[in-house]
Amino acid sequence: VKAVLAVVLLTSTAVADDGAPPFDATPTDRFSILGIPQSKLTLELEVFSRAEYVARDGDDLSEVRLDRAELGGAVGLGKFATAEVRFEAIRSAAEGGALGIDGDTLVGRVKRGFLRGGYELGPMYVDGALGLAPDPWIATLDDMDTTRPLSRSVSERLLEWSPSDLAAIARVAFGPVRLALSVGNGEGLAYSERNSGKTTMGIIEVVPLATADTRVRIFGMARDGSLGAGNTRDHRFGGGAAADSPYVSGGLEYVHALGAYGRGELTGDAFGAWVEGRPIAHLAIAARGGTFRIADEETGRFVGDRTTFGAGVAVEPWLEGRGRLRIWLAVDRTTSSGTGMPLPTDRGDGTTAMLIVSTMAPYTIAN
Amino acid sequence: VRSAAVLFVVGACAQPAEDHRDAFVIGVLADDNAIWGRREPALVRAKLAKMQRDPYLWLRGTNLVYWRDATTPGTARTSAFGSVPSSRVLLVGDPHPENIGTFRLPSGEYAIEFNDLDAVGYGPYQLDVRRLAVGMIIAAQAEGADAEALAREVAAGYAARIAAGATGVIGRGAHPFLDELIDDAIRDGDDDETLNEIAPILDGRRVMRFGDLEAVAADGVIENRMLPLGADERVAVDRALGDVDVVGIGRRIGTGVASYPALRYYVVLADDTFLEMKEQREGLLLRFVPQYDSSEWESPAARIVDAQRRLHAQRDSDPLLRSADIGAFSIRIRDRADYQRGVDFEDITPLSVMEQRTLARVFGELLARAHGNTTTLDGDRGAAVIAPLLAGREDAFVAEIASDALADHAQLVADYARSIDRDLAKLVLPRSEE
Repeated sequence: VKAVLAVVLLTSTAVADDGAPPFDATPTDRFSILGIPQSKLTLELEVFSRAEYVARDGDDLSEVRLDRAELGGAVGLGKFATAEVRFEAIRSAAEGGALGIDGDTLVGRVKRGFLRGGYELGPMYVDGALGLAPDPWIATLDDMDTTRPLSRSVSERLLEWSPSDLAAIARVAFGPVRLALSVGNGEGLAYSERNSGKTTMGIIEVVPLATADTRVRIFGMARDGSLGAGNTRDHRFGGGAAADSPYVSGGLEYVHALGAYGRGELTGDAFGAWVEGRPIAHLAIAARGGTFRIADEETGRFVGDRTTFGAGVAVEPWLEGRGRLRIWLAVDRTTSSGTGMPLPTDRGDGTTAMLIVSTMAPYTIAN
Repeated sequence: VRSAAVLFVVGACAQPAEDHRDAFVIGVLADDNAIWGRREPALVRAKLAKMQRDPYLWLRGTNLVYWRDATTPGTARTSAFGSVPSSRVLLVGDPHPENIGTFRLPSGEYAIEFNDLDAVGYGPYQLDVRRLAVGMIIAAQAEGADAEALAREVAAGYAARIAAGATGVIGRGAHPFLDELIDDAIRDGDDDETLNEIAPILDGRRVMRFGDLEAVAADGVIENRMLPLGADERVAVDRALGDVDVVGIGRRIGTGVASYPALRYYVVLADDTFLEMKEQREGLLLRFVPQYDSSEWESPAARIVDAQRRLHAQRDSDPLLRSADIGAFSIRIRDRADYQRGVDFEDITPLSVMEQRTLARVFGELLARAHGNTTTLDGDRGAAVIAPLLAGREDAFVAEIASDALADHAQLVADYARSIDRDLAKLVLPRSEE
């Protein structure tokens, strides 16, 4: 902690002393697609679609999937507020199931819908949100992560952490430091509130380095949560870091879970990392991986894990501001153990080759 | 300092293991009943009350608890008799004794088969064997060595039938208890007992009875109620039935445990054919398995119809079996004549210990025949992927199933003991429906 604070202070001092351009060290994230009060209207279309081939013991699988299709819109409400809605396409039946809408149609649902307000208060920037809002931890992890078309973050994919929740969120940024506090249902997108306990989360984020082409972020998180009608324990403690430069980006995350998969007695540690290199224009090479190691709470003994890792290479025929089109050729491997019987994923038998087309298409009408 | 801080945090979050278990069970029951809880909260309340009557009824209402226990990483017991191909066997999904019954075959002979395949799906075969063993222990009200012996018989019967090729009809002569079940089915079927109860003949024609055909129980459980259909509902049901001459339809409430709140219609045709139409849900959806977005079946009812034909010794064990849709509901249609008669667990309890053990062995054989005689998700014959795992290791397999089933049984009994005298509906139902 001392080291982090020292870096923060040194960085801030250096910027002030040498008269260098005032690079914006305020932490960013994927919390909102519309800065306040920079524009009247912003639309954002994010689509990840893929054709995949899964190699496993027994018959292999091949299919074309729509992994992610999201359309977000945000309207500026004067100088201090925005209203934002984001829709996503999902399969109407559970994976492997048949009971959906009109067969198993792709249907749209509201992923996010919230009001956000922000205000400069002297040297501080205070903002907050109310509604079906982005989970601040997932938004923090997703910021700068250009490998999201390959896989969601370890928190989202392996810990099944919902990217949105019905919550009230308050944040305050002071120079390169931001504190966020969220109080919500904790049930994510799947359910409305099912117990009387609220899920409270605090996040601290620091940007110790912010120059014209390099940015480093460090963050920590603690969550006191409950899940479901049974009030199942769902606590989390974690941290991470991310860095971005013209040629290389990368990120790390770590989460200690007390309660997982709707079971309070499970504990475990999740680790994740991603890295992307851009050696030449219009080409990206990326790798990512993560594991969630589950332990018996009483003995601390390892009892099972879920692991995923992969890599990909992408060509980027279009890049314009935040907008980009990428075509990925990627591979993903999943393994698990401790499921009590040999599921097909045991002993590392799930390797997926993917052709992914990912687009991020923002459209803004300025004030 | 760091260790102390970690200990403080972890200590502050620690809860007794029993609390975690309780939260898990309540959470799973809430998940399992979430849709019905919004649509039919009174029936879910009655279902939960019914489950609280007896450990066997608790077992019937907690199949999802069993499967989540068995498949969540880090919580389950590992098996020494698994393989990847054998984890894709077509399972009954809920093979307890009361889901076994008689079927009158087109030849006039009778077969003993699994008759409730609501949860059918692909998965590891051992988990079906364990579930059957637990059901047998609870039905027999066995404890200690007797309980272990029952589980061992289920597993031994299973292994023996797999080794023998997993073929053949299990019918009359398999066990005196089952012979009596067949005799009762013939008697009640010839007498049209249930048909006459719900649609007696008055002035030469059948007339549906509506209302409570049995008194509502003291715990609020509706035991046997028939409700007339509204006009729109009737149109939808008629459309699902197709071109048949219907003389009466009613919605039946009071049957089953897990599916107690489900839509269930009794239909009487002009030729006295007696049908049941039942709403179906998803079956086994094992998590953490790479799989297609959608199942191979177009609806839950289509899954059950296909699975029944594949798991039974004869595909035409119920010639009237088919699937249909009523709006968004997936409906299975089956012959409801009393020639199809299910086992009542209360008839197993008074059997002698030896009779229970021999019956357990036959049930194990029946499950092996079902698993082994159809194809897995990969298209292999079930027996071909299971038999090599058991060959020469039958005793160890029997010991593993017995050990796991006893542990499952102990967990189920503990869960049940915590459930009685509680207002489960208040905990399980959606907050708006409490």
